[in-house]
Amino acid sequence: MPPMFDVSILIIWSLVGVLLVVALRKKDGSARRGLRRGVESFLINGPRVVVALLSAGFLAFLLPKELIATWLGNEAGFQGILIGCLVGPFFPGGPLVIFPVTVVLLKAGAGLPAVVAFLTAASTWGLHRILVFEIPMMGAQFAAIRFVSSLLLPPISGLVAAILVRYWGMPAVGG
Amino acid sequence: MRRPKSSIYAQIFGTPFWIFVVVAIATGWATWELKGPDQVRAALESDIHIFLFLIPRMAGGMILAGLLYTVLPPQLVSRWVGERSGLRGIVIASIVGALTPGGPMTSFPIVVAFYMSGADRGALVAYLTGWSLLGFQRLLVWELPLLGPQITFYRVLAVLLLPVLAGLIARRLPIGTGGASGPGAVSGEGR
Repeated sequence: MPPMFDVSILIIWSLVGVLLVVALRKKDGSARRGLRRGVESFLINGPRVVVALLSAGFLAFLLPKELIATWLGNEAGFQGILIGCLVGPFFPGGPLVIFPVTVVLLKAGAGLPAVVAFLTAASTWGLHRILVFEIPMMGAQFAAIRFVSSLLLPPISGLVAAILVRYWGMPAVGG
Repeated sequence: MRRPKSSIYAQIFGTPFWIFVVVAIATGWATWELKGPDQVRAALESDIHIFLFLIPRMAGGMILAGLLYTVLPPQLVSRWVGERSGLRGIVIASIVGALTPGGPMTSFPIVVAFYMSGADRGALVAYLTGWSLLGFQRLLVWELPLLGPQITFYRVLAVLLLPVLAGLIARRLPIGTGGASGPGAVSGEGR
């Protein structure tokens, strides 16, 4: 369970404070308009995101995650990169889930190129983020543009990692 | 500020909302059938924790974006990250993305604010990719302590140029963002 209060919430609300001061100093109603706009978009997007999160919560229970992780851990080389690309999108991209999973994968013997491709796929093709945030807030068309633009990123990152490992050797986990 | 064309109530409970309701019911039903009622309850309980985590951050992100929109001069935005900003605009957007703290509840509202202020889609895609692949906060708080400096270094090198690449591709894609398909979830604009 994520903590309710941490550094990120402090940073967000401090930035709100700074912008509010900037807007107030303009003395042209910017502050009032900005606040109104923010509250309205929260009211409009909030319910969508909440309902989308319900779906994502159920999907998390439907996916055979352990099986997927074992599968990725057992494959090396290009096959590993390919599997990393294919399974990444089904993991939530948030750091709370993805980094502990990554540690498990590395300790289970997964190759770094596969793990890098997996992380890139979870971040850029992550279905959870697309479903919960991107489509509700930006619309399906923007989500499609960003998805197509990102199609090559996971395999490229895996291949670059493979080249780095080839020339510099496999780095140590936690080292 | 222009008045919204439809009431706020109609915007909250518009088509997108109901699509998500249908998806939630379908996945909930599938979980009930395949995994049993206990798993449905467990999923709902973990959702409550996520809501408590998300709501204060999302409210902050939205208000941040609203203020950003009224404070940012549109000419400045379109000069730095607009359609004619070239490679420089995409590089700037990637760097600003990597510097944006917090989760999707901050970055997506900021993208909406920049879109409304005249940033082009190449810059927006570069921004989101920079944030998700190279976000400094996640790097410092999660990746370095858990994976260690060596693996973090390799991974950062492997993805370093990708936000710029994604931005350049997005700018050339023959798919439009105009009209009602743009970010429509902000009242008073578009739609």
